[in-house]
Amino acid sequence: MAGVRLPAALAVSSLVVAALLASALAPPRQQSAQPAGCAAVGKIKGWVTVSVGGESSTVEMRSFTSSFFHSLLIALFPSEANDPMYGPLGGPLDVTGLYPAWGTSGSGAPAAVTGGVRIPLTWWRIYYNESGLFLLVGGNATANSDWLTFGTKDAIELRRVASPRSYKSELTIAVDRVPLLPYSFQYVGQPAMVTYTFFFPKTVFTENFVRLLVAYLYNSAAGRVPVTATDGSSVLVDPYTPDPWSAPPGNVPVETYIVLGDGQTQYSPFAYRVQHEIARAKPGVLRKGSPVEFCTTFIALSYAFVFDRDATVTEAAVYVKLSNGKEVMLLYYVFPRPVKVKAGQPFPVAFAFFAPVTSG
Amino acid sequence: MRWRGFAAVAALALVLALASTWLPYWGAGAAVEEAPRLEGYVMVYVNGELRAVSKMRSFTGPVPAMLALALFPTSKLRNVTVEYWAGGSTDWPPPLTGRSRLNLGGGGYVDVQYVPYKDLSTSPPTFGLRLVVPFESVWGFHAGWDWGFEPGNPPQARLREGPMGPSPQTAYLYAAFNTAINGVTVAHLPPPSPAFYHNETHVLMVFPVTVAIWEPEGDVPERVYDIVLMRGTGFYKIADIRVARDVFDPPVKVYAGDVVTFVYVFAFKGRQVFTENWVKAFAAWLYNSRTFRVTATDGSTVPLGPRPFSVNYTCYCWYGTTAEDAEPATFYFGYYPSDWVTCPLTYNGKPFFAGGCQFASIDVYWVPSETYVVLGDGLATFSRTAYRVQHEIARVEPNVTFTGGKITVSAAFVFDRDATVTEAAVYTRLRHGKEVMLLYYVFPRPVKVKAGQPFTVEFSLDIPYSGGV
Repeated sequence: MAGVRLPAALAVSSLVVAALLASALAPPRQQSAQPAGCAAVGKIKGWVTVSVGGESSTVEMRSFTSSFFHSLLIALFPSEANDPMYGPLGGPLDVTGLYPAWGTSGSGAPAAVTGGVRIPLTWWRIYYNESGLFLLVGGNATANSDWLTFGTKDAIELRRVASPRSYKSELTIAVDRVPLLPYSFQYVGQPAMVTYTFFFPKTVFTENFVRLLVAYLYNSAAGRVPVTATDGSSVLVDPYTPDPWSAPPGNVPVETYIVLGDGQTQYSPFAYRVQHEIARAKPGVLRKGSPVEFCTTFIALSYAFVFDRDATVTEAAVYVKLSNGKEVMLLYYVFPRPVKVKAGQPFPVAFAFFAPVTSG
Repeated sequence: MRWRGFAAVAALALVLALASTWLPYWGAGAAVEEAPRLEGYVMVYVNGELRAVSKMRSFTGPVPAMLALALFPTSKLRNVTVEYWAGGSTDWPPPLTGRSRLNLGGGGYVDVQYVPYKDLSTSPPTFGLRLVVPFESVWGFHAGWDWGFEPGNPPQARLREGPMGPSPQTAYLYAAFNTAINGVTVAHLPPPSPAFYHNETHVLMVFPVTVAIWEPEGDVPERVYDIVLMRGTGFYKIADIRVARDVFDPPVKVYAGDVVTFVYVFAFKGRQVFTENWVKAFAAWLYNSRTFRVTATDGSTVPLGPRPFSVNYTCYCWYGTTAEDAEPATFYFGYYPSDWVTCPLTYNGKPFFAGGCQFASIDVYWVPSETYVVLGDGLATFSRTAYRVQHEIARVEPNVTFTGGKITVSAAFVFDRDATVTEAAVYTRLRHGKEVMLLYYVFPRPVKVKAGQPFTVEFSLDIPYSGGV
């Protein structure tokens, strides 16, 4: 399983920063620097399993698309601070195609598509173990000759439901090659199933994040997913809109914050708020990919806090505000030790997560 | 933090020079009372660990002209020609890149015009609106247009949502990895709003940019040695202009999967001169994509930065069945933010083919348009949050010059009666009429000025630069 990349030690020393600044006339040193900020990093993994006639084949996903990162960023982490890309209905726009990130009027589902065969992924489940959170999304079909013939040479695509206002009705999230077993026509007419399994390592991701991802994938009435708001109440994320052309989606993220706290706490995937908030800011987010590939393979949110007075930080989180005003904590990080931050000292905080890609 | 550490470092100096031929306390040609300055640093964090600090040394050649034009425009300083280096962008149309010259206008108002055109020599034929513009504004806005038609019935020509109006372009960050790749983009994103902080000795403006390195798998170390700060322009084809370029020596080693955060720290040092308004105006200039709230001299809070106040636009509906025979048939005129125009389904028997809109003129209403040096005789003490002189007794439009890396705002006063001066300031008047005090200085002792004697005040911004782009 993927681990979570964390600073080796987080005993922040303002003296380190001051000393480095004071010695800035000298060439910056490459010493084993002390930590002076926060970078909470998570790595998403995925697998796709194709089962036909009782046999199955599983491959690890390695080809999430840049479009996925772009649209996920706009959908889950809209930030007015960066770029008020809002349409006439007030919904956030996906700047990669200038279409709304949320909202369809049907009850559609994401689909696995291969060889001209489309398999709606009609069910989803969330599991948790000591490693982290798992999301399973799957669907059933009947194998036909087209699938079994073309499937051996065609990739299988995971597609998300997109708004009719977009240039495409679907967004390709990942393209993978799965050896379809058993490559035989004898299974024509047999039940077939496609299951995507996503893994979210603990210490960064929360169950709320996974639930938002479900809403993102379905983006319809089928994507109405309950989450736990920071006030402890259950609130429904609702991508559905009765008319994508004239009505906003029911309840989706509209603003993003990085929140710091000084509470006595520990990480839990089911945490829904920081224990004691002491500061918040609208972060910078990767709004737009660059011409080079590696910029499109991750999402990062960051902000450099500067406190007016000395502070102690024990926890950091990413909150999103929904259309109805409720706030939901999506990412959560608890420092191994409290971090003392001096007044006037920059304290950068970054949340970043990857998913495997093979191309932009 | 001991900001005293900065004092040994001269990166960028803002020097306030107060000189007078009649300064009873200081003598003729009086010297610098103190030397406030701007120091910039780039701090590199890898996975949350501070790895290196680089002092910013290299604001580029066009910066003094662009900064002066943006923040200190006068009746004599309305446009300048600069040589610049433009970066790249994935935006369409493809931007111009490389070294070139540009005629910049200030004051925030620019007329732009487009003319319909059709080019059948290309394959497929191209048509649209061609930009006709005398000069570009130093304050950003996206004088762009959208072309195409909306699905739906009836068809609609529309202003493109988002990139139109104030430009989302902002301070971009470029860095190069390894010598083989020069200027590879590692981040093409707007940084978050800066954090501001002030105390008795300095004002801070801090913002981070976070990037990830290459693929999440692998162990190949890379070297971060060259980092470039780009200022977005909002221009039609020039996405951004290089404003600073800094070097890490030795390079910072990073590995695949690392998360690297570059933190830009701008420290305006000095017990006087720099106000909160100033640092926010500087931020507005650097970001060039949004407004920052400042305090006007009347005590009200107003936005400062590029944001359109009024926009006139024209929409075209083209009719025909192919690009070859499509012709513009209907023109609509409207005002921002209305962004939808419905085209008739047919016109002169031809079906709707495509439609588009463009801005005809934009009034960027929240940016400086006039500059004054103001003197006062109030009982004042310097404060970072001061927003006006205590009691104004005189003001003049200054002479603003920039030679090499130095911007000078100077003004000569001649009183018709004896006066006592206790405070000096630089005011800017925004296009919406509000005045904002950017720089402020309180004399350690009142200065008595005789009637008829010239009294000269000079603020100078000294920016070390190589002259390159």
